[in-house]
Amino acid sequence: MTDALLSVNDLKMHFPIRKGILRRTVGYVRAVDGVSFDVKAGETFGLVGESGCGKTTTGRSILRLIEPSGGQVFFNGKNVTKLSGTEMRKIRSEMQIVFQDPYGSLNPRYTVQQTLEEPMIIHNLYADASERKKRVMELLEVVGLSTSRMNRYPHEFSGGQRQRIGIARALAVNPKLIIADEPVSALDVSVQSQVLNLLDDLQKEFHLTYVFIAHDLSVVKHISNRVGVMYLGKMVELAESDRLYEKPMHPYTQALLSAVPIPNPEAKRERIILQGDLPSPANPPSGCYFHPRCQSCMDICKTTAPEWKEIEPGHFAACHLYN
Amino acid sequence: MSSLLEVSGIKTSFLTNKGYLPAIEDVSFTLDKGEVLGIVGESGCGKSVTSLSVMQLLSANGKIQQGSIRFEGKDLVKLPDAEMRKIRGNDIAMIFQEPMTSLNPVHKIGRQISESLMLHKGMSRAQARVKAVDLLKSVGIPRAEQIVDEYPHRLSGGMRQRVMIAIAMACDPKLLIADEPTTALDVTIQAQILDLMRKIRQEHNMAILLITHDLGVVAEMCDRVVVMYAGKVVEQGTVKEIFRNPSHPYTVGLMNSIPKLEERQARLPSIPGNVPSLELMPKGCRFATRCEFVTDKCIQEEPTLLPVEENHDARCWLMKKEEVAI
Repeated sequence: MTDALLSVNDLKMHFPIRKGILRRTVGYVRAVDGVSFDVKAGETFGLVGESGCGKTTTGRSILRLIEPSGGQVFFNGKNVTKLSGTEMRKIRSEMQIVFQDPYGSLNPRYTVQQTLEEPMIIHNLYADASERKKRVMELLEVVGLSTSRMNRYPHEFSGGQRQRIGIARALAVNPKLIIADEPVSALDVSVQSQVLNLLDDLQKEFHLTYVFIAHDLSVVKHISNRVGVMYLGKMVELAESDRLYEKPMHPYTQALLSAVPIPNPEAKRERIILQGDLPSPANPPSGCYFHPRCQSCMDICKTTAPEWKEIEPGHFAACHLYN
Repeated sequence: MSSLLEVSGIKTSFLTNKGYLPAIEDVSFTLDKGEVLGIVGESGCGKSVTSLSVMQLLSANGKIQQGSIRFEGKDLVKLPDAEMRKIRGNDIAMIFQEPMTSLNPVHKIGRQISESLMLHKGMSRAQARVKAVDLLKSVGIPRAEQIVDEYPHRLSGGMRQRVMIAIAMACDPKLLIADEPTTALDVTIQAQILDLMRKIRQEHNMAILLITHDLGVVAEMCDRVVVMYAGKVVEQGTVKEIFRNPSHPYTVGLMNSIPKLEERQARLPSIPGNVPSLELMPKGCRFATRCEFVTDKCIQEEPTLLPVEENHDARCWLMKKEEVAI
């Protein structure tokens, strides 16, 4: 695709399992196992799944914060996975990440000003300290924090405010793409909606593209244009967000959607309760990874992995039911 | 005196270097036999402190300064420790948020379930073990005979929470306090655990005090709900009533700020600002700093719980005005 800002092609991240005195590799944890998707400029692409499905690993290997073991990532037409260290550093100013934990992702010994200046210094963006300071104040205003507090330390801020600092830090280098890894899951609902609205405003103002990773389906639906659902390192379904929620095709997506408690005591609906737990990605089931928990499991599911297909225009799924 | 649990006007404070600071004040509610009461609120609103006060499990610097907690007529606040130990784990059981840390990692699962059976029911080790296997089966753990001899680290989060429920159910309690029982779990596992809790409640006609921040869980599980904000009850009523007609501006804001699965909103309504800290609590209504309907009266004087309808109260001066208007 030509209009894609980010194009992920068959991305794989296999972590070796080492055992014994010689630390020989005895197997692999297939955290991400062949994930492909495109993200268009200016859109928000949501990535959902339960813990251990590989959504965070996907986000990190796109930025090469961990080195992917296979596949390609194209950003603006450039193959990111082939770049050298220096070239990668340059391109990182265009791709930034916001982390989940606003408590752990800020350096406790840096003031807000130091935190926000650091990426500017690394990327050599401004000539002198006064210009950087001006930019810091500008950034704080953009994310809705008072500039009078720029000499404070992270512990003096609440969770929501810290997440705003994390977002300001990502914005400091004028990125095109922001990977937001569970940016609101550590926050209370009333604060969560403030941060979601902020992300929305920033996208419009700076023409940002987001990859939004979360486990909360209602949050992902709210913010995303298109959503990909992951299960055990693989993408099982991808569609426009409204469509996915109205007409989920993959049995896993259906179960996931029906499991979300609806804040309305009078709402009645059929609930699919999945049996069992998520299998280990070190030893995945044969055939379709979802078959031991699937309600519509057929014989073929146990032996053959389903193909990733476009079932309806723009609606992809990997399931034998649609063959 | 028909209620199983009657909490009236409790004030729990914690000793800090600024003296005793109240974490919850004037918290009252009742819980009948077989009823599910939800306590909902955001972090720091005092919902966990409330449950720990009922259980008398406050840390050493915490103290219930006012009020009474009557369980079957007995005031738990005044009860000596030895008496309280007989009730805890026997008549009142509790499950916690973090199934990873609330099980003892160095004891086998069977032993952790047997402990309360041997202590409260006077069973022998062998009897308790048989009962432990039964309990594990009843909470839907496969291979229960083998799992009794496993250590907690061998189990997944959902399975550990099932074990916690088995421990809590061991002595057939009359009241189960569940403090964020599904917060650490994935949605599909959460659905399994909620389903299990519903089943157990029906089978044992047990009352549940469910502490959660998730309004979705409240809507699905509870009969009545108490909404807390900054250490006070701001609204209480039946679940249907509260969701149909939320009356306190905080409850309204909380409900609106959840993104909905069924519809698409351009922009999420949100509550501006943050929860005030304990030492800087406003003099009047505690929500006044964030409320869009704030008046001078709200800043000056704290409202009491005012009736909205039958069995539905809200701590807001707006309720009074409505009464006058009608």
